[in-house]
Amino acid sequence: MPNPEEEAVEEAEIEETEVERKREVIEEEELKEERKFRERLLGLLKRTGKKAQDKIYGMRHGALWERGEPSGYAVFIILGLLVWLIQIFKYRFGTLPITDPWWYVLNAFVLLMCAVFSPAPYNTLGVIFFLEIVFKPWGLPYLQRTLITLLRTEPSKIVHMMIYLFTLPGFWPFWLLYGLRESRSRLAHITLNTYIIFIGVVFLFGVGELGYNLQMPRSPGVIYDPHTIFEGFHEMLNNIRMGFVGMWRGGTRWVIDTATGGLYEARVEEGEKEPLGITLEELMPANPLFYTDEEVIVWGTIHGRTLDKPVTVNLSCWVGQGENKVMGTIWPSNIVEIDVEDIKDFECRFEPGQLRAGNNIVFVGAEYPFTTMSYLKAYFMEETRLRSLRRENIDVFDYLEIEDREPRAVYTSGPVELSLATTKPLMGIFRDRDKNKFTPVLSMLVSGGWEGKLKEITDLTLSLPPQIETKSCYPEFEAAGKDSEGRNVYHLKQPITEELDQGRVFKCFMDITDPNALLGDFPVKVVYFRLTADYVYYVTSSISLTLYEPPEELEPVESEPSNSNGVDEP
Amino acid sequence: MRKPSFVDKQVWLVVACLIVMLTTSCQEGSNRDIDIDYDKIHSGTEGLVISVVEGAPPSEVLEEQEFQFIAKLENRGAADIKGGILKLILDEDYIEGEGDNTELVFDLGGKTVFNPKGDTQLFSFNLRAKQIKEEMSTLHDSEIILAACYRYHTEVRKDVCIDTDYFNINQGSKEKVCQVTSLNLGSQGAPVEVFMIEPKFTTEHSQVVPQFLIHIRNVGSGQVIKEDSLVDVCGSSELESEAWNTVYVTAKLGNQPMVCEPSEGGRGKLRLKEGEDFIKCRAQTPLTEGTPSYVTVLNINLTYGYTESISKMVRINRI
Repeated sequence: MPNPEEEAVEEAEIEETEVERKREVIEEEELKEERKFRERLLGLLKRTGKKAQDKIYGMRHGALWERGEPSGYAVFIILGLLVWLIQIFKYRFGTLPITDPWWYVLNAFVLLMCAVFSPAPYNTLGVIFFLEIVFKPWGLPYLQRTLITLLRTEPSKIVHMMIYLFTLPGFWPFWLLYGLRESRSRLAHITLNTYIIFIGVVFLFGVGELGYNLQMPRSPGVIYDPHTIFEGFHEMLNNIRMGFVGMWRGGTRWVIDTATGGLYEARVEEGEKEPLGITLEELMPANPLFYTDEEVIVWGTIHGRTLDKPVTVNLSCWVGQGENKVMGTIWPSNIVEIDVEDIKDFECRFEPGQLRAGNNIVFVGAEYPFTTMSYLKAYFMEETRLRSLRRENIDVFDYLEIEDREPRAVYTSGPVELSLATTKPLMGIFRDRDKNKFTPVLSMLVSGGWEGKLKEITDLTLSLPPQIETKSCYPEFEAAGKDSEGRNVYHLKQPITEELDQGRVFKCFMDITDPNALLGDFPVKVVYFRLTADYVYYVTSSISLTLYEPPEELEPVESEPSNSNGVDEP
Repeated sequence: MRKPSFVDKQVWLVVACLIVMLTTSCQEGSNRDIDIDYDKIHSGTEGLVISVVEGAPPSEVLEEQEFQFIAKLENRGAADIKGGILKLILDEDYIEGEGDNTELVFDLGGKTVFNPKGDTQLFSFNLRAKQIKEEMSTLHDSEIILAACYRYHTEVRKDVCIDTDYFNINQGSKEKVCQVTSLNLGSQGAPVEVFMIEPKFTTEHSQVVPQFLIHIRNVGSGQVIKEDSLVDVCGSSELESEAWNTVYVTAKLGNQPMVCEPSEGGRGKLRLKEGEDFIKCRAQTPLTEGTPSYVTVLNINLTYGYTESISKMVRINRI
């Protein structure tokens, strides 16, 4: 009879064996699963690798059109050409049948399409240009205008065309050339060759045109004077500098606009059809040819348009710069008075011998004081009312049917842009004056135009509603009492002559002295801020003249008398 | 006394039936007329409609020129307006009102059976263009805004089904006269409308309480304001959020007033969010379980203020 203890041990052993067997089975199953998973993973990796390989191959070798699928690239070229043609059309006719914003939308769309349809890696460039045009919509025209400004010596239309061509992202040559060079398609190569020939021809004409414009002395007998060549290049460099200053100003303005979300955007007042200010027009030499021993005269016309007050213009003319500067004389007078609208002719004269032979660039400058006025509409509302409307998600402008939702400063036409801005078009104020700790800020921007230079801001006159005063301003303003309407008037404490190239920003924190009177009994109150800028502006114009050494006078040859038959008499 | 014969009995019966028929048919006929008119009048999403009379103000005026701003006010809704406020908001630097008269109070009757288009009235403001301040400017565009604030109400009358067996537990035991369903409503001749009524029934101590979720929205072009904030909204005083989007609701189930919550001063008070919201109204008298289903009238009355604006640009030219 088996011992119960032995039986128990035996049972335990059987049980253990069973457990061991089960564990083995589980482990085996787990191994099987793992193997299956690994196989699946490997298969997946292989398939993916094949795809990736294909893609890399396509990227390296432009597989799209090599496999006889040129559709993507063709679309890319066609769209590029389309953009280019539109650009040329714009240049040629000065305008587009569509407005500028829509033009940029179209441009951006085309570039996006280029990016979508063109094969890798060229689509990357498409994306870059697309982003550029989307995020910097005004960058391109600035660049183009600047390049044109660089060649202010009246470059030909072909040069203009070149500039447009080379600055057009949609048809950027490097992008295109690289793409074409990489391709093995015959069509691509034909396109590439045609394009290179076209660019070459345009470039040759353009260089010839540039050479002409540099006004190199070409008259026989006149040597290439290094001075005149330098002057020519100097003028070009000066133009380049001016162009970059222009771009910088434009760029600065763009930066200001971007940084402030277009806070300083302003518009010229309607009804001002022609710009106000002074322009120098039609500089031309009195003679087609000048010799160094004769008086050099350049004719000029000054065109001025002012509103009600006459403007006194101080004219000057010169050649060269620094130590080499030679001043001419303005005739009949260097002081010209322009009243309302006037055109006056003058002469710039250089005495005989004042100018050297070779190329001389005659500059004429006109300095004049001018005034520009600007005003800005703003809305005020009781603060708790404004907050309650915001809390209820009610748009104040919608609710009150206000059309002018973002009033922009309006300034009178002139050489300077004068802009005013408040942080928000609609400002909330408490009826209790003490509660108005964060008072609105009024910002003012005076920026010079492209045509000339803002030399000095002699005064700024700020006019605020009777219930608003300035708390602090930078640069400083000083109170000048009240005007006939009871408005508070402030003047700039010191004239400003420095750092005017990029425009100057002025800021004033406002103090609402009588909120109740300001708000009145209206749900919303319209107020106006007014600013008048008095400044000195300076415009220049130039013309290139070539002076020649006077021809040497031949000594008269004394001929001996001869007889009629030619035989010397004895 | 002679006992009435069988024929007499029949004659009387016929006469009685005829009387009953005539009286009920007359009643039904008159009711139908009222309903037709009620629906006609209580349709549309407009209340007060403001427009500016062509040429007043003119689009261009000269400095120092006097001109009129004439507003045409039409009450195209079903409620009367009493003590409405018209406020002219001027660009005071450039335009002034004659004698500072920039505010008017008006009454305007709504649509009725006898006046199916509602009242229309013209309101005129005498204005004068000031001198252009900017000495170098030749013109100035000035905006004139006319705001109206008025009290209004919306009336809804709808048949609803009351069914204590709303879960259909006793289905088949009795034929139900109506089915409980949500009601989608059309316009009600007011800028604020009830667009849906959702019936809900709750059981408390073996008694069924009928209640309704009343969905309300602003379908007009203006803003809903609190009925007692007219002066504040059209003025410039401080305003709390409650001044906007507040609607008071009262409801009756049959002849029994309902309790609407949240409430203020015995009326349901609703704050519209993004122009709409709902309020719950419940019957004050619960019904015992097993009460057969029946149809009754639910009357809802919304009371609120409303504000609308219109603007017109006037160009002032320098002389």
